[in-house]
Formats: sequence, C-alpha cells, structure tokens
Amino acid sequence: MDFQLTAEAQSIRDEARDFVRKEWKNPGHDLTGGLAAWHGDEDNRHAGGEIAKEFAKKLVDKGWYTMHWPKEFGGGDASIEKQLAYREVMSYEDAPASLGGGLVAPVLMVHGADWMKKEFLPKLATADIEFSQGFSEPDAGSDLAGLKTRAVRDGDDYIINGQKIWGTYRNDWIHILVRTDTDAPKHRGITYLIARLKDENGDYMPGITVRGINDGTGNHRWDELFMENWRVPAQSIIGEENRGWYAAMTTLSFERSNIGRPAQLLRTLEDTIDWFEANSKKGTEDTLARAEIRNRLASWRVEVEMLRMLCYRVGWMQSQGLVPQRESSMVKATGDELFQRIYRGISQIMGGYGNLLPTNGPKYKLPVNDFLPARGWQSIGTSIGGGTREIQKNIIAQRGLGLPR
Amino acid sequence: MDLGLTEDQEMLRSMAREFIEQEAPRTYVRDMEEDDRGITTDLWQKIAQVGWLGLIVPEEHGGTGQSLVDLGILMEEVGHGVLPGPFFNTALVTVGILDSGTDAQKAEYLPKIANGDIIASQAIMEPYSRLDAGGINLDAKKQGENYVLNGSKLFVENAHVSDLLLVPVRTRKAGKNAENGITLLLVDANSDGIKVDKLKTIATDNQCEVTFKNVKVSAANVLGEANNGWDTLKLLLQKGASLRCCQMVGALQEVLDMTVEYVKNRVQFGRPIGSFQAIQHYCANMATDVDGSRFITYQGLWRLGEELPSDLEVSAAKAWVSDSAQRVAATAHQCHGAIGFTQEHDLQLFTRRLKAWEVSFGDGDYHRERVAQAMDI
Repeated sequence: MDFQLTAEAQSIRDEARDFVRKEWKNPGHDLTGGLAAWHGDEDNRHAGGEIAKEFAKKLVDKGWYTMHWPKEFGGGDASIEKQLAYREVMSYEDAPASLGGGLVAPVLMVHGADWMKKEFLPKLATADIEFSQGFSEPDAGSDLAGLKTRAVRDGDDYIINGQKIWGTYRNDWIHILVRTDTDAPKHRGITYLIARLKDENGDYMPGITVRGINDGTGNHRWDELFMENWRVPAQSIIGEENRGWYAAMTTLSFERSNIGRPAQLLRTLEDTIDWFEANSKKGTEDTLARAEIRNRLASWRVEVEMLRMLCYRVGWMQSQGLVPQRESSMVKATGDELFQRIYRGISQIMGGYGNLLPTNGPKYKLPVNDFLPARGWQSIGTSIGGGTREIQKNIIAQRGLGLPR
Repeated sequence: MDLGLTEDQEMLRSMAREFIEQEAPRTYVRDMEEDDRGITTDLWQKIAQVGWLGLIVPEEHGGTGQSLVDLGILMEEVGHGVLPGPFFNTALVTVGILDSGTDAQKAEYLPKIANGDIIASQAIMEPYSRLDAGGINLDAKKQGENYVLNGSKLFVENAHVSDLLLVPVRTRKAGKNAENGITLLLVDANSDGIKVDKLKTIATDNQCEVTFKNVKVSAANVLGEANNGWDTLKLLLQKGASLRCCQMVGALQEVLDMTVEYVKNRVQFGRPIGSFQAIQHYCANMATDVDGSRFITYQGLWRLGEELPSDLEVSAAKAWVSDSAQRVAATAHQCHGAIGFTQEHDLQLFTRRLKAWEVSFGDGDYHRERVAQAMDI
C-alpha cells in the first residue's frame, strides 16, 4: 500500500502549480460554464471562452494539453497517475483548461475514419476546434438509447429529422447520435455521426434551426436543435452503421477519476476560511470560533477527503489496467451531492453576502472567488447532467452489487 | 500510488478470515457474550500460535516484525468476524511499547505478549470521559523510585482479563497547559490496590472501571518521558483511532454483504426486494459509505506507518467512519425488516459493536474539531 504519487506525478503537480500561478489570473469570467451568464450576456460568455482558449494554447505549448493522448496521435502517453496529479492541481488552481480533446478525441482515435482523424485530431490537439454534442432529446434523457432522431439513407447522404436538447449548438461541427434502424433493439439501431452544423460562412446548414433555452436565473445556458430534412454525407459515420451506441461509449484509458471535483471543493473551503479570517476582524463576532461553524467546515473537509480517496481509487484501478464502473458512479453521485451541499452551506454561513452577484461593483465584491452564487446554482444541475444521481445508484446496485433488475 | 494489497497481505487477510471462521464462528461470538472473561484461554493461545500477537513485534523479541498497515489489515478481519476478546487492546499496547518503550521494556514485555502469556489494555479515559490532555488527572506522586497512583480510569476494555495496563497519569499539576505533567506508565494489573469492575454495555465489550488506591509503580515503568508523555499518548490515541477504523471497516463490509445477500433472496410482491429501486439505492449508499471508509482509513494508517503528518487524515477517517457506520447499520436494519431486529439474526452483533466503536477514540464531533484545528481554522 502506498498513497504517495510517483516522483513523476509529483513533479508535474509542482510544475503545473507554478505555471498556473504565473500564467493565469482569473478575470472574473465563469469558465466552467455557469458563471459567464452572471456577468451579462452571450458576448461575455464568448469572451470567457476565448480566454479559456488562450490559456489552453499555453498548455499546448507546454506539451501538457494532450499529455494523455497516445504517442501515435501526437500525445504524451502520460501515465494515469501523472494525469491525475496534473488535473488535481489544475482544478485546485481554478485553471480554465487542463487536458484537451474532450469526449470526441478518444472516439475518433478508436472508431474514426482516416479523414476524420486527419481533419479533427490535430485541431483538437491545438484547441482550435470545439464540437457540439447531440445526444439528449426531449424524450431521451436517462433513457438515452430511446432516442428518436431519425436518419434515413438517401444515396450518399442521410436525411435527418428530429430534435436534440441540453447542448449548445453554436459550434461548426457536431457529433450526434441518430436512429438508423427502428426495428432493431434500441441500442442496436443507433448510428454515430460527425457533421457540419454550420457552413464555412458560419451560417447554419439547410434544415437546422437553433433556439436558446434560459436557465432558472434567466440566463442563456442551453439550446434546442431542430433538424428538418438535414442532409449529412454518409461518410460522416463514426464506426459502423447501427453500432453507434457502442462507439459513443468508448472512453479509452484516459484518466477519469473526476479528481477535479474534490480539488475544486477543497479550494473553495480554503478560500471561504480566508474570507472569514479577513472579515471577522472587522466585525464583533469571530465566526470561525463558533463551534457549529467549525463543525460544518470540518465536516465538509472530511467529506472532501473521502471523495478524494474515492477518486484516487478510480485512478489507481485504471493504472492497474482495471475498468472502474461502480467506482466511477460512486465518485459521480457522491461528488455532485457534496458540491451542492458545500455551496449551499457556505452561502448560508455567509448570510446575505452569499447571495450577491459580482455585478454590484467593487464595494460589494463577492466573497470566496466571485463565483459563489453562480456555482451554487450550477451545482443543482450536476446531479442531473452526465447521468443522474439515480442512474449512478442503479449502476452501483445492479452492476456493482449484483442486485436484480 | 498503490492502493491494493501485496500478495503477502492478501494471504494474511485470507488466513485470518479462515482462522476466525474455524476457531471463532458466530456461535462462539454469541457464547462469549455470556462468558465472564469474554474469551477462552484456548482461543487466545491459538491467536498467539498463528502469530497475530507477534505480528508487529520485531523478530529479536519473538515476533515477525510486520508493518502497521499489516496490523490494520488483520484488524479489518477481526472486525469482519466480530472476534471477541482483548486482541485490539493488546495490539495497541504493543504499538505503544514499540513506539516509545526502552530496550529493557521491549525485552521484558514484547516476547510475553507475542507468545500469549500476557494480555494488555490501555487505560486512558477517566470519569469525565475526555480524550484531551485536560482529561488525564489520575494522581501519581513520586515517592523514591516509585510512583503512587490514586484515582480511577473508566471504559478500560478487557481490564478484567488484563495483566498489563498502559496508564497515562498526572505527575505534575496541570498548569496553563494541561499537556504538561502527563506520564505514561506500564502497570502490572495485578498490583496491590487495583480494583476492576466490569460494566454492562450494549456491545458486551467488557468495558471496565479500574480504581487505583495507593498503587505503587516503579519509575522504570515509565513509557516515554516522565512529565512529557502527552505526545506519546497523542500518537497512541491516533493509532488507536486508526486501527479502530480498520476494525469498523471490516464489520461494515460484512454488514453490507449480509444485506445485499438478504435483499437478493427476500421475496415480496412476487419479486426479490433487491429489485426495487428504493432498496437498490439504499444498498448503493451503503456501498459508497463502506468504500469511502476503507480508503480514507488506510490513507490515515499508511501515513502513521510512514511517520508522515497525519493529524488531519486520521481524524478525517475516524469522523467519517464513525458517522457512516451508524448510517450503514441503520440502513441494513431497514433492508432486513423485522428479522434483522431479532436476537437470532446476526445483524445485531454488528450493530451493537459499531455503536460502541463510534465513540471509541473519539466520535465524529471530536474528530471534526481536530480536523478544524489541523486546517488552522
């Protein structure tokens, strides 16, 4: 047993920490997807995206952005431990990017046609392209394989009709799941495509309509995508026709411990304590001396540590060539819930300050990290997106513990 | 990073499980609940023979010199089998002597512990039931080459069968800093003036009150440094908490396994209740609690073994395990329905002990305050 990271992993952690502290100053944009909205509008969100991209470029120059990719695709073949250490410190330092390629890169590496690899992987490696993701539909959420968007072959094209939701469909390209066989069992009639949403001039392709959806705070967060007789070349298939479900489940052996979650929560706790230390001098009461406050802060710290250990376990399993399943679901279910409770709790103990938006000017500059209300709000969605908490618990119970369906 | 067990550790684990299944099955556990000593001499001798008592004792003193983590793995099995008797206490005193004993003390006690000749226990808490330095007030006055002890210790496990007690006492008045003036003594439990009264507890875990009346202890029996024993005691409390966590993890794993097995087989409305999502989510919560407990526990124990700073990690572990143990036990009962509430069902053997271990070496609140301190709040 050894809880210490390898020397190589420790050294990337130290190097990345120094690098981020030198190269990154958060300008007050939410770069994790939830915060830009608080600062105003779409322009601001766009600006946030540009800043994140600029930082990602620096990581590209350092050779870190694709350290997890296989050598044959220009990556660094980094060990799982190295990836884990790097991600942990990047999240702790609130860096706007760490590893590149998202979900699409590994899928293309394994299942993509040659032209796709040539066209997209180099751009993904340099942070020059982003994909929209077309998975969820209004009637296919947790039951994703029940998706209905229909693709019918017509000569060299598919003609696609249907609707997608809960993505942002503003990129030039989309990777999308469609139904190509309505008679087969639901997982076996799905095809995975990579297709142009917009043409070279930035206009949506014929048949595509996009409509924004606001979240509960009135800010634009997602879109709906309507497809009406949208023509997509048949060469867009990732993998094989009707085998799209399985291609989409490809994860490669990239680190997926979700270590960023406990790292970010730890940082939040530390920032909160700093804020109280700075502010309790001004007041008459030392909040941090109150037993119930200490108990709550320590309780969150304990849970963050427990979550961190569950994440390390996933990383360790991967480093052993094992495939974590229920172990990953434990991390997701536990991490989402803790994220929610910590942000809710901190905003409670901060009283009215916890509800202030950062748009009030310097006099009412937000405590913690400028992001408290936004992240608190965002946290509500984490146990829904990416597989709901209930789905995670089903996986733990059924695949992990062998309980009957 | 390697969060798995070595081949040797796997073997230690599987042999321990086999040993307990054969020598101390649940029927034995039940018998010992009715037994005054709480363990048979026969079993204690067998425990010595398989090498558990000498596991961490160096070879020169009759043991096999294995690590603290190895002891933790064994303790997990001891918890898994709810093994009755003073193994935990004897092991913890062994840890204390190894960490802080003189060569002479090691040579005197360790071989006897390793071969099963003496049973030992730690006598730390007093009637105020505190674990901080201010809670150590048992009076010990130096008279010539002896200390003379007057006072009492409470919640001393298995004192009634112990030959040796590790007793923190107050040798100087607590001034501004209660950490000053504490001395740890190795006390012959059969000394004149010691009286042991066994208490009845929910866990039938043989908690005792030990009173000391003019008990003479040689100054040669000071463990560590006289008057400066707090650091030694603090380390012992940490190791106690960490090893207790291991024991709890073993018990929790068995509670989970028992529950999963039950809900797979219990049929209502024509289907196993384990097919209902409400039950499945209970079980998923339990499994997450158990796995979280395991890794947070071993992180703390490993750090202690490596002599790394471990205040936060050990207290985080005990806080988490103490609380999750109660959740897991309560959920297991809910899943078992009425049968799990009966004496004939084995679940109660675990629930009652987990309840006792929750507060042993500090409960969640105690350790959260320690975490707060470690965070410099």
